[in-house]
Amino acid sequence: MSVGTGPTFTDEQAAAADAKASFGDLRPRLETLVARYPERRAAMLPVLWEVQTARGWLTPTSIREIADYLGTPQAHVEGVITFYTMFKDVPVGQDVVMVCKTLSCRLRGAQEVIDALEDRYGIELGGTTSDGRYTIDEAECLGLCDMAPCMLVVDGARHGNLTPESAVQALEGGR
Amino acid sequence: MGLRDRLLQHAPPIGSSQSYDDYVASGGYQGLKKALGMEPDAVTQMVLEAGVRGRGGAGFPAGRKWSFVPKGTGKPVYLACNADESEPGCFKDRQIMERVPHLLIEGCVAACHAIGAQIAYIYVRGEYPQSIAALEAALVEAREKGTVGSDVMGSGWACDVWVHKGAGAYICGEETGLLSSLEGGRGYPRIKPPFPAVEGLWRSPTIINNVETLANVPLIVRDGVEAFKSVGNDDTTGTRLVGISGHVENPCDVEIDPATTTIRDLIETHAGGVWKGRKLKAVIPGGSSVPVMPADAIDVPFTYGAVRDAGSLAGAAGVIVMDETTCMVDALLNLMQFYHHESCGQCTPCREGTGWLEKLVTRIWKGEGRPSDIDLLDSVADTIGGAQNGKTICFLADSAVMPTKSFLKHFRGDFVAAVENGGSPVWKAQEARRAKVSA
Amino acid sequence: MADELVKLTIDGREVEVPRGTKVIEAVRDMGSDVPHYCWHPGLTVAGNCRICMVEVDMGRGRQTVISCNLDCSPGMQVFTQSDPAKQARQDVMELLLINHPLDCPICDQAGECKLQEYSFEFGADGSRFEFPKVHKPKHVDFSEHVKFDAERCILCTRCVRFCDEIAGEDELSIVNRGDRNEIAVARGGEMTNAYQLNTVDICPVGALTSTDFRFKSRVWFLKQTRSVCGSCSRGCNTTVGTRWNKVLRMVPAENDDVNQWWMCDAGRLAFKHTAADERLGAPMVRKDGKLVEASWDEALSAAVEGLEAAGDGLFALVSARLTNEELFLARGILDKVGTQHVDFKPRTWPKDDLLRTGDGNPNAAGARFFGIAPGDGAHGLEALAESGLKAAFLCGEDLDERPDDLAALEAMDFVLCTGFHETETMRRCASVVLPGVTEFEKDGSFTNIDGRMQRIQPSLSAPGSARPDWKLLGQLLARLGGGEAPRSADQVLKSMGATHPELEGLSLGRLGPLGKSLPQGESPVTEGENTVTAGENTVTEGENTVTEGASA
Repeated sequence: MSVGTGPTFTDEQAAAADAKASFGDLRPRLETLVARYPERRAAMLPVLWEVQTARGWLTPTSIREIADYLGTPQAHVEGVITFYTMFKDVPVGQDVVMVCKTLSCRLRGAQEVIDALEDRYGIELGGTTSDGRYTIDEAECLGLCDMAPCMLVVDGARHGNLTPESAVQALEGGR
Repeated sequence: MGLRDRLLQHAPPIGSSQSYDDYVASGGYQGLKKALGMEPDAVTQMVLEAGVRGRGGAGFPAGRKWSFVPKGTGKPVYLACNADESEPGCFKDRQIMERVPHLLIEGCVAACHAIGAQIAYIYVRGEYPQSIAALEAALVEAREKGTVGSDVMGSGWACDVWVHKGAGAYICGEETGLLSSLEGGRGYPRIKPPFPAVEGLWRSPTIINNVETLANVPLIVRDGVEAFKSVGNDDTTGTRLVGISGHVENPCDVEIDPATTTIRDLIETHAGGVWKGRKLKAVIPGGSSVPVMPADAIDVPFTYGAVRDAGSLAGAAGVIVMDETTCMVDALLNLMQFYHHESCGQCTPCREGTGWLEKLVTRIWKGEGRPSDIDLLDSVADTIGGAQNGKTICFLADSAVMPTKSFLKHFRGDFVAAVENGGSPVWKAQEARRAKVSA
Repeated sequence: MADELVKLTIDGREVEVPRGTKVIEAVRDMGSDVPHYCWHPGLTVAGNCRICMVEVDMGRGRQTVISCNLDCSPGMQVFTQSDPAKQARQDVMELLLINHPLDCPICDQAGECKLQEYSFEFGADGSRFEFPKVHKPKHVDFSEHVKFDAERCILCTRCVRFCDEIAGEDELSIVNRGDRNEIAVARGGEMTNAYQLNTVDICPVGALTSTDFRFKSRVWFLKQTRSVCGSCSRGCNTTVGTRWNKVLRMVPAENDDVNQWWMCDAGRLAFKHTAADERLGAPMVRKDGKLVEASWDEALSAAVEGLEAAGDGLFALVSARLTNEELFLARGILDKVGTQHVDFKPRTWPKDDLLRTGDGNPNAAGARFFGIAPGDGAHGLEALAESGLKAAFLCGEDLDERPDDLAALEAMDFVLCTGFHETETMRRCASVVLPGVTEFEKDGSFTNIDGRMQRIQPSLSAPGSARPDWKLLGQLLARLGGGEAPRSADQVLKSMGATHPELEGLSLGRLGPLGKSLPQGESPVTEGENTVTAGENTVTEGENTVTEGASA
């Protein structure tokens, strides 16, 4: 859900991301996803995930290709992408980190964790580290309240019982 | 029987996932085997008699829900498992999916048999990659071993189970929002009628059940109705998985007998008590959308009825504990930010009203509130709340309204103080820190 | 199922409605109205605006519920004016306005805006909201025809549903979430459907506006005239908005049997010819090879002289864009002259499954009915160039785009042209030009593709001394010995019964606002197809329960 909130993508960035994996290469995998549903369009979320994972973000070309592939108007694909916070239609870091800010985490120091990360990388939540390694997003409850405060690397590790120091360390370890 | 042979009895600790072999060794897939030998209606009847109520929050009896599937429509029937556990403070379903994934898979297949479905979709929130991985791995095993697939346990009956990954939208945990999302759209809840049991996925009859609800099904079938009902009481049969978080020594997820376990027990016995030796101020017992309870109201068993009678709801069993230092204005602001952020924006009151609530609480939090703002906040909450009175399509607006009204009812003093003393202490501390940093 | 009736009580009145009727429809059918934004009779139910709240009692006590998704059920009691229902609507009204820019003074929708209307009717006298409003894009071009203002939008999704369900182009969507939701076209794309201006009509607020009409006039200054579109043989009913003797806009008028609530964009924008610079304001006759202005008397005399001289050697091309009354008079003229070389010019128009018929003549059915066709062995339009005929009557028609025919006309001894603007045909070939008017400047009737006679009405006055075609044709016919010239189109229609019994007793007034389909077998047309395919009007059968929020 990043329309208008992230950096503007350039044609070069789009081309670079599109070049990461050709849509044609993804097709065999996408076919297995489409086969799970009685209607093609139902594979929307799985297909968006696959393409986003392969290319880093959902480029304008990807969006058109997905619309064609699913037989769905492009406007609808964009409607879906912008509804869900985990879909990115602007360039993001190599990994996206979701830092939980909701009540159970806030009660246990989420704000301090967020402050530490912002300080360390000199960015505000939603921004990308200058080396392009991480985009650090604010997240609503990650369902990891038993390890609050917590953060999740999208499709990757989760880090719990964070302190300002351990939060920074967890990400530094991944560099 | 106590808690023996219940949901997490044989579950490995967090971080590991029970294998097919271990699951079978602990009595797994016996319930499904038995169900396959029964008439589908007989399975539904057992679930109905077991009285298991929806564990996703609303507490609707699962067996009754199943009985709403119309017969002979000629349309396929679908099962959608609601694993979009997004309610702040709730993390119980994650335990099942990650630690005993086969239990959920068995529950899905058995439920499919009962309702006449041959496909189940498990809609897991995108923020749960570990749950998705555990389920996917278990499904590979299940297909290999024939508990899922074209010939389920040699019965000749086919049933598929697929994991469908969400992408960050709380509203997809609303059962019809989930259906819209599963069909490839924005997660908009649907107007009713039609009800999903009649017209759900692809306009076909669809049953949506929570993870924990379905996980109970194999146990009910295998061990029988009486064994299931030996835990809990008539109002809340069976165990409940409860997540306890916030200001406790040991945030955790536990499986309890709801009839004999009080909210105080949850905090003091299971979660090690309020942290740092502090006193309790407030508890939100059922996930962030239910009314908050003051410290003196928590000596009630964790059944649907008892918590309701005490002025709140057991909901999805996410107990959020707040100690005496908590500023309730700050806590409410956090929740208002959440519901504003998560409103799908489809219908007017919620789209416009959740933002208004957040703006009002922010004003009080920042010390810009007026004395009249407190009543205004209460009144705006009334303006947008009331899905049962047709105000909104789903209950999201009410999920913002219930905390608002209950926070004001029980902790009005915190709001008055914020208005009179220049804002929430949390805001003041934050401002002081910012001033120091920039100095 | 449709014939099964259910009996219920609405505001104390017992009513009977077909099963499947929604409460909002039942109230409307009683002649009353429940306020609504998202509900539209031609679209599926969205239930998102939440303003159509009524109170209902089905034996378990009263509760408030939206009436657009509530099936009427036996014994149901509905209260549209109870305090809880009114309060609920007022609550929605307040919420709809908190982020609305309230820019009525510069909004094109002002005067026909449902926000204004309902706010005036039952809104509060102030707002309790004192925060900065959510800002969204303004002045967004959805296409060359449609402009969007996201801040005025109330997200009712009528436009989205129209494109998907009626126009068949699912090209609008909602992007973002919550109070940042916006209607959008595909990024880098635009609306392309041929009916997109209907979204402007059905937009209950000022979010979608017509680029063509924007800032032309406050709507309350428009003179509104019911008429019929002249662009194809569907005969979509219209409301023509005029001011300063100019057409400023044309919008569809509801007619369930013809166009429902819709019309195509090309049709509704086809009024520019009324203001064309080349309009004819005076008769002309050719003198010394040049067309020069003449008096009506002189021009009519010259016309009659030419026609009489031509006799059965006259080629007549009579426009199927003329009204029935005019066609009838033209037929009379041709009978007097005694020619069989009669035809009308086919005119193509896009064809689709919704409204557009492919036939760009609005009154082809009328032309056929009045025998505007070559007699046995006579020359039609296709044979004109080789016909060797020496005189022609181009009645409201031209052959500008047919060079061979133009050359044939040019070689003739006498060519009479009528029409409302100067054409190449006139310039090169006409001996006499009689200035007629457009369909916006006269009374009369068209017969559409389904044999429905519908009334057109004047919304403009014609330039100069131009005369309605029925009038000039009537005068020609009178001078040819056909009796007294008619004083009105209505008089012409009333006189038709004498020779066309199936039209006996008809008058323009009796056609009514929705037109009249003549009884089967008496219909003035022989060919045609059935009415438009409407969008799905899904009626959901099933449980009559009002609990909407029930969930697991």
